[in-house]
Amino acid sequence: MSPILGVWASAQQSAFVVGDYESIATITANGTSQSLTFSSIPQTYTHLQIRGIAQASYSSNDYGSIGVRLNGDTGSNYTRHGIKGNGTSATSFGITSTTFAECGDGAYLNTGTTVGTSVITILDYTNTNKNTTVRGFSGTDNNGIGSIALGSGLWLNTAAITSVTIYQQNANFTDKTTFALYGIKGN
Amino acid sequence: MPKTYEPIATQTLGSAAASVTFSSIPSTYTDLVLVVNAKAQSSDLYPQYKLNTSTTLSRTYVYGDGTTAGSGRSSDNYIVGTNQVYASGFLFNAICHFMNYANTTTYKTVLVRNNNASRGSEGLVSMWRSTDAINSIEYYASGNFDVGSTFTLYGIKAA
Repeated sequence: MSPILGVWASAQQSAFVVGDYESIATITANGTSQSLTFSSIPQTYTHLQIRGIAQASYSSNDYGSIGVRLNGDTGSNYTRHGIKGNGTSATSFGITSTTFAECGDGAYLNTGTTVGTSVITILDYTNTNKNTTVRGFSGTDNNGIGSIALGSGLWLNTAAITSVTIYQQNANFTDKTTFALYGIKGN
Repeated sequence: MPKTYEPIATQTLGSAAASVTFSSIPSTYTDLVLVVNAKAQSSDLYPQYKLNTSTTLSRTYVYGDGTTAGSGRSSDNYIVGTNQVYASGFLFNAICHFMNYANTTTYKTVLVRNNNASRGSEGLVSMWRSTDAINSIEYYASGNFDVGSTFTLYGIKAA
C-alpha cells in the first residue's frame, strides 16, 4: 500500500506482511443485555484479539469493569490480577475463584457520548494442553474521573475456546457499545 | 476472513525533529494504531500527541518506575503525554490505540502504552471530547526526536 497521507518529515515505506491479522466478527449492543458473545469461533488462528468501546446504562458518572467469560462458563473457574490507576493512586488486584477474567474498567456507566475502551488478547486459544490466559488493557476517562488497568486472567480449563463473552456486571450495554473479534495467525 | 492491520504510513527521521504529523487520515478503518520507536536527541523530553488545538483532551494514567507505582490525571488540555520524562540516549517506545476513531456519535478514546528503559512503564487512557472523526495526529515532544526515530501508523478494519 503506497503512502497516501500528507507527511512533514522524511518518509519511507516500511516492509510489512499483511495477512496474519484477520477480522472475524463485530457485535454492537442493543441495550438489552449485560453481555455480548462471539460464538462458533474458528479454530484456525493462534491467538484472538477483541477491541472495542463500551458504555452501560447505570446513571452515574463512573466507570465499570469489562470481564471475559469463555465457552459460556459462569462458574468460579477464573482468576484475575493486575494493576489499576484511578488518577489518584495505583492499586494491585488479585482474585482467585471468581466468575470472570477482568480486563479493566473499560465501560463508562452512563449514557451520553463518553465511552470506555478495551484491547483484550486471548493467547493460544486452541491449545488443549494448558489453561487459557486472557490479557486486558482497558480504561475509561471522563475529564476528571477515570481508571486505567493492565490485567491478566486465567481460565482454569484446558478446552479450546469456541466462544467468548464480554460481560459488564453493573448494567446493560448501550447501543454505543461495539466489540470486534480478530484472529492472529502464527507460523 | 478479511485481512487487516495495514500500514498506512511510516515516518523515519532523517534529521532531528520536534514532531511528526499524520494528516488526511482515511476514515475507512475502525481503529488506528500508532507505533513509536524513538530516542531523544540531546535533552530529556516528554512525548505527547495532539489531535487539535482545543483544550478538550484529558487522561488517566498508571505507571511504575522501578521504585514507585503511581497514578495521575489531567483535564482540559490540548495535548496528552506521558507522565515520565524520557532521558536522552535511551530508546523509548509507545503504542497508541485510537479506538473507533471515525465514528461521529461518541467522544474518542485512546489507549497508550509507554515504555522506556531508563524510566519505566506506563499505561494511559485518554479522551478527546469531540464526536468528530480523527483525521490528523501530531506526535511531538518538548525537545527533538533523534535521527532514526520511527513512527508508523496502522489501520485496523473490523468485519
